[in-house]
Amino acid sequence: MEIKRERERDHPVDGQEGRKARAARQLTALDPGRIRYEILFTDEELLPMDELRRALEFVSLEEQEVRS
Amino acid sequence: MHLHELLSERVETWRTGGYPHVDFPAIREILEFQIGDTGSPKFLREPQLRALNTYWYLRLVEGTPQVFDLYRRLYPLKTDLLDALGLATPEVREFVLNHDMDQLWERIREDDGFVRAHRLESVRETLTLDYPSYILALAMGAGKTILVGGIIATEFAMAQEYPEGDFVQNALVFAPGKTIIESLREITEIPYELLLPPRMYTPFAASLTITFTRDGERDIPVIAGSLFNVVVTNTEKIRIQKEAVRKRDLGTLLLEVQEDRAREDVANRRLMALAALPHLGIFSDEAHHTYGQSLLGRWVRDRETGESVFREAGIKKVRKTVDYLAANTNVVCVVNTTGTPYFERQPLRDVVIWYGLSEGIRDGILKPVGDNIHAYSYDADQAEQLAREVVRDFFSDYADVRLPNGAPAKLAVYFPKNEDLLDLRPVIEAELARLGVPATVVLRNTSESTQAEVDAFNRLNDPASPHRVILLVNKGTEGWNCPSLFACALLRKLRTSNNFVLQAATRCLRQVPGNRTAARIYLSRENQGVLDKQLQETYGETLRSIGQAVRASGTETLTLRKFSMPPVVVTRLVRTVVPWKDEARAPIVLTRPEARGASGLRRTSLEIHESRATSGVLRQVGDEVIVELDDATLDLHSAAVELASVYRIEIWSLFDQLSALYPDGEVPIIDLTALGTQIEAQGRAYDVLEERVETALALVKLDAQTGEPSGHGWRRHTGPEGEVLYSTDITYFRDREKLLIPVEKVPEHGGFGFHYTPYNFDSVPEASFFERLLAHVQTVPRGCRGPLFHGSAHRSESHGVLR
Repeated sequence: MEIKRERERDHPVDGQEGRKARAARQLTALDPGRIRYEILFTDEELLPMDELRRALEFVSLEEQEVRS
Repeated sequence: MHLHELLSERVETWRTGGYPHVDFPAIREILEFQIGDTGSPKFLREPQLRALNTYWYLRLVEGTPQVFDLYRRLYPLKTDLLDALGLATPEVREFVLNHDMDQLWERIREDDGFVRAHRLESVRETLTLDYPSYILALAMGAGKTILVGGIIATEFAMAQEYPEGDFVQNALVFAPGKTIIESLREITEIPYELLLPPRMYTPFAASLTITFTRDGERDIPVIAGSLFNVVVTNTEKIRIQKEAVRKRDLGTLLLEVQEDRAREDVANRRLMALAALPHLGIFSDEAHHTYGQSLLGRWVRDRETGESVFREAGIKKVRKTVDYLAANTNVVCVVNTTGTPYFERQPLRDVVIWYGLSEGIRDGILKPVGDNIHAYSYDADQAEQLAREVVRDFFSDYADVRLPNGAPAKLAVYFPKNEDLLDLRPVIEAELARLGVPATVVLRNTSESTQAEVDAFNRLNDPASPHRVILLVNKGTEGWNCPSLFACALLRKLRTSNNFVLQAATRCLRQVPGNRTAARIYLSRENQGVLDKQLQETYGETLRSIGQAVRASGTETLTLRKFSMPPVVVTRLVRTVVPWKDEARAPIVLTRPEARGASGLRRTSLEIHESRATSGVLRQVGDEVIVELDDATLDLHSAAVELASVYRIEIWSLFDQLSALYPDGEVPIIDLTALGTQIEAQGRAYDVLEERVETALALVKLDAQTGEPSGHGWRRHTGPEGEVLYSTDITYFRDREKLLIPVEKVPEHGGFGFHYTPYNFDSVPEASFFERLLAHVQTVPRGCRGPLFHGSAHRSESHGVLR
C-alpha cells in the first residue's frame, strides 16, 4: 500500500500512473495471488473509509487464501 | 513580527503625525507634495509611496542605520530578535542560553558549519554588511524604476536644501544584463515635476546629469567630485575585477604598498570614476542577484574528517563592487529593489518593505489573470499541436485586444533552447497563415538575434510595432516591461533556477491604466509544477511562513528488531534479444493505421488561490477539457523522406506504398508513429525471448559471509534479554517528531510489524493507516506475519503485509 498526497496523483514518477506505480503493477501482474499493490491518494488525516476497506479486505483475502 | 511589518507600523505613525523632523523639516514638504487633493497619491502608486515613506523614515528618523543595528534597536527582547531573524530553532536558543548574544553573532559570522546546519546564510549576510543596505521588495509591475527615480530626486532635492546634510549627491543605478538596463531608461522619462514641489524642482532639473554607460567605453564620463550625477549601468560593466589578478602575477619583489597600488590599478577604471563621486547613493535593481551567501563558495566534503566544510570562492563580484565603493567613498546608503527577496527559500533579512504579487493583483497594479492559467497535458509527439493550439486560442480571444494607446495584444512564447524555437517556429507561422495573420508578426529574441531583431524587441512598446508573437530563448524575463503583452506560453520544460518560470509566466501581468482585459498563461504540465512551487515561494507563502520554515532536525537511533525475515519471492520477466539467422528478410509491407479518434490536448484551467489545507497555489477550475485538433498532414514526398531517413530504408518503395495507402496525397502526421512501428516490427532482425524467473527479495539484506545486516552503518549490540540487535542513526525533522513511532508506543502491536523501530512515517494518514492495519491483522492472524512499513524521511513510504 502506498499512501500519497493528493497533489502527487499526476506526478510522473510517484503518481497514480507514474513510473513507480506502473513498474509495481507489472510486477503484480507477473505474480497474481502473490503480490498486490495499491496506491491511495488523500489530503485527509484519516483515509476515507472505502479506501481503508479495500486495504483491510486485501489482508482478509490473503488469510482466506491461506486457509483454502 | 518581521522587520518590514514593524517598520510599517512606525512609518504609518510618522506619516499620520505629518512627517515631523526637527533638523530637516523640508522632508514634510516633499512627502506631503506626493498626495493630491483627493487624498490619494498624485503620481506615485500606493506601494511606491509606502516605500518612499519607509525609506525616508529610515534615513531621517532612524538615522540611516545598518540593518543589523536596526534589528537590535527595534527588537530589544532577545526572543523577539531571534524570531525576527529566523533564529528560533531549539539549538540556537540553547546556544544563547549557554553563551551571550555577541557570541552568537560571532559564531554566525565565523562558523560555516553552524550557518549551514541552520540555514543562516542570509542572516550572516545581514550581519557582515558594514554599510546601510535596505531591500525594497516590490512585486514585478509595482514600478521599482520610478521608485528609484523618486528616491534619487527627493535625495538630491534635500541635498540642495541642506548642503551640509548627509544626503545623496550622486547616484549609481545598476542592474544585471542588458534587458534590464533598457528598462532603466525609464529614469530619463520620469516627470520629476510631479515628484518635487516647484521651488525644489527647478534647481533639481537644472543640475541633474544622467549618464548611461556604453559598450566600448573604458571610462565613465563624469567629473570627479562633481554633484548630482545619476550613472546608470549594467552590473557587468562595473564589476570589480582585481581578484582576477593573482598575487604571484604581481611579482614577488613588489613592496606591500606597491602591491596594493597594483591591485588598485587593476580595478575597473569605471569603478574608480564612481568612487570619485562624493555622497554616493547606490541603487541595485533585481537585488536577489547581489545577495546569496552560499553562492559565494560551495560546501565540499573534507577528505580527512568526512565532514562538510565551506570552501569560499570569493564573494559575489557585485557585492564586492558595492563593498569597494563603500570602502572608497562616502556611500550614504545602498538601496536594493527586487520582487523576489529570497535566497534558497530563506527570506533576505534586509527587507524593509514588502509588496507582493497578491497585493499587486488585488490593488489592480497587475492585470488580473482569473482562471486564465491553462495547463496542457500532451504526448511527446503533440508539441506541434500544442503550439498551434496556443496560437489559435490567443488569436481567437486577443486578436482585437488593444491597450488604450492602441498597442495590440502580444503573445510571448518561451523556449528552453534555440533548437526548440527552430522546431516550432514553422508550426507557429503555418498556424498564423491559416488564421490569415502574416508571419511578419513573429519576432525572435535570443542570444543569436540580429541587431535589427534586438532593436525591434526594444521597440515593442511602440503602438506601431507590428510584432505580436515574440519567440524567446533566455530573454524576456526580469526587467522586460511590455504592458501590451497579454499572454505567455511556456510549452517546453524551462530551467528552474532563479525563478525563471515565475518571471516568464508573470511577464504578461504588467498593467496600464484603462485596460480591463485579463492576461492568460499557457503552460505545459511540467512547467505547471515548477510555477506552482515558485509561486508558493513568492506569493502563496508570506515572508512570515517562509521565515518559520527554518526546520530543526534531530537524530534518533533506529534499531533493527527482526532481521532474519523470509524473503519475498517474486517473478521477474527476463527478456533476451536473439538475432535471426541469415534468413532473407521479407519486404516491408505497410497497412494504413486505423483512424484514431480526434487527437486532442487535455487542457486544465487554473487560478491562483491561497489555501490553508494545501501548499499548492494553483487551483483547478472546472473540468479538464479535451481540445480537439485538426490533424496536421504531410504530403507523400515529405512523409516518405521522413520515414526513410529515420529508418534507413529505400525511399521509392516506401513512397509507392504511401501513395497506395493515401490516395489523396496527404499523410496525417499522427499516422507516422504507427507506420514507423510497422517498419520497426518488420525491419528488425531479431526476436525478443521472454523468460519468467523467480527471484527472492530480502526485506533486510544480510551479508552473505557474516550473516549480518549489510549497509547503512549497522552497529551490533546485545539487547536487555541477551538478544542480538543492530542499530544505526537516522535524522528527522523535529516538526515531524510525532510521526516517529517506536514499538514501545504501540503496546497493542501483538508482535506484528515493527521489523525496525521507530517507524518514521511521512504523514498522519500513513501512521493512522498503519495502526488500523495492525489492529486488523490481529483478527486474522493465521499465516500472517503482519504489516511492515518501509521508507525513509525523504521518500514516500510503503506498507506491506507479509504472509
